[in-house]
Amino acid sequence: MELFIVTTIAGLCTGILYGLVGLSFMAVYNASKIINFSQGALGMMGAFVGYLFVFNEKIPLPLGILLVAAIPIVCALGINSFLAEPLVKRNFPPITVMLITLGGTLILEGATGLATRFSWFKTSFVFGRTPLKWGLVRISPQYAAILIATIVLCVGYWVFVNRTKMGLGIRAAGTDAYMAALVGIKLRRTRMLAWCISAGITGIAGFLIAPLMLSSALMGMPVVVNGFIAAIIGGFGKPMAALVGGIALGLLTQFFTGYISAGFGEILVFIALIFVLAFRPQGIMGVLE
Amino acid sequence: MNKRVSNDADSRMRTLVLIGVLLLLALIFPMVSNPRVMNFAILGLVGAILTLGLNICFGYCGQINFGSGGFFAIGGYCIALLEESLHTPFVFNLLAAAIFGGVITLLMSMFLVRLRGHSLALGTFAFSLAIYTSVAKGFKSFTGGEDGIRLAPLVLWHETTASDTFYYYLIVAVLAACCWLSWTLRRSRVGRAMLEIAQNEVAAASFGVDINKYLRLALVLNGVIGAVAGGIFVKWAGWISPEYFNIMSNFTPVLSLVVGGVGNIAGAVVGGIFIHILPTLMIGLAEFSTLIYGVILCVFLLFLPRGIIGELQQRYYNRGIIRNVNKVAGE
Repeated sequence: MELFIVTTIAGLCTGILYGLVGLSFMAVYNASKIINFSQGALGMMGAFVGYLFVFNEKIPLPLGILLVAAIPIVCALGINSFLAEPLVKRNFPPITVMLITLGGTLILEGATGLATRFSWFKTSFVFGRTPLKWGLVRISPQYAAILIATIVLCVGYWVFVNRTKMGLGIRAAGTDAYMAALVGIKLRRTRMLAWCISAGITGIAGFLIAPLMLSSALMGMPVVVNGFIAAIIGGFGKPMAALVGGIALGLLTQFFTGYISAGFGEILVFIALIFVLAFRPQGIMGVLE
Repeated sequence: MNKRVSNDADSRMRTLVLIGVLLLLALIFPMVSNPRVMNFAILGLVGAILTLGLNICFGYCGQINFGSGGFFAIGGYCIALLEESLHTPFVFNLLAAAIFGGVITLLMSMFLVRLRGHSLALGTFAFSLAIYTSVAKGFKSFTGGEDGIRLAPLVLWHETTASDTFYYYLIVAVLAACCWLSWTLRRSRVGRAMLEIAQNEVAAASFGVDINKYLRLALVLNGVIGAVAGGIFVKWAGWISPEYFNIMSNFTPVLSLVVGGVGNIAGAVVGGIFIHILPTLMIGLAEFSTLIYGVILCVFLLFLPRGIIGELQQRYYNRGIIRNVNKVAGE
């Protein structure tokens, strides 16, 4: 019974983590139907900035979180305006725009890698290590922080994208750029805003996730792939669906690791993707278009 | 209109002469080079084969595939494991690797073709990561995990082991076969259907092109070519470990294709050779390689979206006839 509860909690925690990563894709995807590959590198920047300022320089936490969100936003604006926008302007197909975000990723990772000599940078738990107890349930404060951040960001993003004029503008730009421009939405500015939102979420996610894994300049990509698959499993394009898919994936991998064997994480994720594609291609919460 | 036809015949003649000269150069190359250069050549040519495989998927069908490292690993481990457990001859192993690579890719592609564009790219990337973790962690007892497997040198006849020159000619032969395959594919019904998918999927479907079938075919060809390249490379290196299939190995073929020219056979070969020998050329600058790759990718996409060869052809060779459907540039 204890194993069951522990595994469930671990699965939920991992799942929320995937969901948070999946959520970070959403804004750029909603605004331009482009999957931003540099998300992983931006998350890594968040982790790295956290390592530099919060752990080494010991600056106060609120200021640290602000920095952790701000520096990836600056990087994202750089990638957007110098790499992605020129291609969008010249009417290149979306897949090429995705490729150039991969180029931005490699530049960011390469530069950070040079700064850290591609070795691990050790980040510690910001919120202490004493687990929060509640009956049999024990949860590390780090995961509790991730949970709170995910819920706040998820609900916040949902409200923003469904209830505010700006957020609706983002969705309109993604659904039909031409029509959106016609009704007076500034496409360039909207995309920029979407990149900022994505990068801010990613930076915070990277900062919170970093202590749970070995962080290095190249940590981003595998996490991003898992988060993305979580989003496909949940049903792409909706913030809540990413969370649901993430939790499903997290439970699956943790139960397999806990009860059967460790070391198969990525394979399980891939098999889950195959199963969802085979039997429910629109995802758990998705609707067929 | 007439001018265009004669121009086309001209350029065909020139192409034939160029191919002949290049083949001749490739054949006499080992006689004038030293072992160090030979190493570079083998690395570069294996990269060129991988890139040609990807060209079918990305260049013709317009679907990015980030699974190259996974295909490479399948071929390599297939050869290594067969040799270790059954001691079968290399030719048999290579054939088995090709078939196994094809079967695995077919199984995977049956579901992955439901994804398109970015999603397919990330799906194949997940495939490659799954292969990577399964050989590095999951099936450690078979594959030796990070330690890898050592392969015996290839014995040709009477206990003569194969030299680098032998591998060089083998790889050149495979590369030539892949070039021929890509060339005939381009000219065939299948290749035209693939190009149409890249251009406009809806239009292709309305002409009766079974899109999923051709995407599967492209992925399977990519998988087979990747597995063969991996098998030969691993046998030449005499050692296999997950290190060969790290995350970067999935991106380098895509990068090569962008550098050479997407959808362009000569571009794939040139780009593949250039990008794959680049890290070995930069001795002492290995740490810069990720950054340099990123800069190369961005610079080419922004300023030379047709790639080196595509741009040269456009300027000096075809004189204005657009022959290469270049999906990256959106032409």
